[in-house]
Amino acid sequence: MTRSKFLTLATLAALALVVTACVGGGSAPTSWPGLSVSGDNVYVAFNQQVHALNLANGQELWSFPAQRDTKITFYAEPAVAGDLMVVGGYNKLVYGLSVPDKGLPRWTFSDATDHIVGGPLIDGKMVFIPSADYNLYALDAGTGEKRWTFAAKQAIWATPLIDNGRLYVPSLDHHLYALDAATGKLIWDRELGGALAGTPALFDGTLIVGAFDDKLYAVNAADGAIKWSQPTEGWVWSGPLVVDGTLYFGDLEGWLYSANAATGSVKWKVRPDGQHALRATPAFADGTLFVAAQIGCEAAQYGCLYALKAADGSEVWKKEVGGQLVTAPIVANGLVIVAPYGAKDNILVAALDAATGNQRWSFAPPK
Amino acid sequence: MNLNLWNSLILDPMVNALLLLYSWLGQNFTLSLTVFTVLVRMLTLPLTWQQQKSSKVMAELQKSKEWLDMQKKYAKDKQALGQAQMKLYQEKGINPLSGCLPTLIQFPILIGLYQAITRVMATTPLQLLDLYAHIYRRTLPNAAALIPVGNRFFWLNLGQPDPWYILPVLVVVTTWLQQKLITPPAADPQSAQMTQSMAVTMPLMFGFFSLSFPSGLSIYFVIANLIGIAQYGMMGKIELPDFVKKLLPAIELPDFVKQYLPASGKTSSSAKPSPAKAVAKKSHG
Repeated sequence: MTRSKFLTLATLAALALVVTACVGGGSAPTSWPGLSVSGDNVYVAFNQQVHALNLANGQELWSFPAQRDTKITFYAEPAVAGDLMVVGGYNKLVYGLSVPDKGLPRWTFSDATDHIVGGPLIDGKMVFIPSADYNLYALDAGTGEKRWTFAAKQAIWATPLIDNGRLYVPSLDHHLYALDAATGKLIWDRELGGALAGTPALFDGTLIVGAFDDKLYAVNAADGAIKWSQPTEGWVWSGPLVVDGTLYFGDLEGWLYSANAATGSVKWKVRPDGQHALRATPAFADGTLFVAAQIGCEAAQYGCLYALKAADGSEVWKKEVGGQLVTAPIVANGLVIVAPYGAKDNILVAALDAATGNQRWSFAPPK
Repeated sequence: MNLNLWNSLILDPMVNALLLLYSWLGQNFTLSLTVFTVLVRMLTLPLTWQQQKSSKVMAELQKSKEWLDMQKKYAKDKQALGQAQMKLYQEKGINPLSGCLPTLIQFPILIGLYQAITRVMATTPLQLLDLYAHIYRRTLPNAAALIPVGNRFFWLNLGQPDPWYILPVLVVVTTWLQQKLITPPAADPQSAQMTQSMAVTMPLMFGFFSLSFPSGLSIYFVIANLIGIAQYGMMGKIELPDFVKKLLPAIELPDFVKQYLPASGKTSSSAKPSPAKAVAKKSHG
């Protein structure tokens, strides 16, 4: 090969590398793991597979697809009800899988024209799928056939909330929609000040939802009227956790808030380790909050899981898990389950003792 | 460059400028992208011209009798050839690397522009989370109203590849056209071969990228190529259409621009000869 040809090829290769790196091409993840717990199992969706793990010891039970397929990526948290798992992919497909048959596909839904970012919601015989193609799809849980579609004005990234036959759908178009779950008919529509990316919480007939305009909103579930709004220091990505009339939520400036669910007034706020995004909804057990911070633990590039007293936000323990923590933690059977991304040793799920923070098991997908 | 320094000096200003334009231009992302690319290209215009002037001078030198004689004389002695070339550069007052510096300065700006566009489009949760860290929240207080940026444009979802493959074709055609117009003629067969292979490979490579990248980026490629072609048109590298030539006298342009315009109508009488025409005269004279 002549020198000039070599230089040409080297230049093109470098350019290709720069360009693909800039858009997160190749196999680089474009979101964080989707995590859910149902019964004795933990389910995690990340990159090319969905894994089912034993909650007690973290052993893999099965994965879907059994062999990695580079054309499929999963990030939305899988929904499980009875023996049905529903999971959506960035390949725009939604899969209905049989849990007892180790993830054997029952049906596939292919009408979506963009990524499935938010987790599906299973309610009886219906499945609701939020899609980045601006639509919410209602499917028959048994067959995957489409029942109805609701179109928003922007992507829907959050799992909707269902209560009493009504579906509450937050959208990045800044609107919160109330729909008839059976027909998809719009009941009311409330425009808020910023994009809505998290599932609302329901407390005493009031929907409470975080927005990107640095506010937490309380909206009357009956008619969509705004009851109150509470300013925050940064975007509120996820919906709040409600425990005994108290709200717990974080913002992207790193503040964790405790507020009165009826009025929105802040009881206390703490910033565990400075300006490190608290994107996910906290978890709660036995008077302790479990809060995931994206980065900023001892090794600055890794996230921390904080156990804080729900009464005043004071620290009980904190633990670095060797990756960024953006996925919401889940408490089950005395364990706090976390799903870091970009973790050292390829760890995808870790289970920590809720009382001490000591790691009980971890799961790294086979290479 | 340190990542924080890169963000502070290059990426963050570009991300916020793009969001500001999006706010001012009726929240039309394609229009904002076009205006932003034009503005950045205007800022780097002096560098582009400097680079072109340098490559023109080098191409001219490589066609000269002195140069060709030197190649024959030292064909079997590369070291002596190198020394003779350096001597000739010194005699002519040419710095062979003078064309590289403008390119090197432009490179980070173009990469920053490219990164800013992908950040602002934020088509995935991780990108949107990352965008938050780049926004000047105090100076851009209405950012919440702007996000996420609208990603529909005619048949396109700007966050997805073009399903009809129209943009990839446009990317290939405009990249090829720009390559064809701006590449100076090669002095020797080896360079000619390299130029030819680049002229084919580059458009195909960018076309291939466009098949899998968000169409917003493909739009950027097309806009950047069209601006590149227009720039070289203004420098007299290509013949401008008649209607553009007729318009030119009516537009009062700065002197530094006028000197590069092709001679036409009233403008020709006052403008200096374009570098391209000067090259043509010299090389055939």
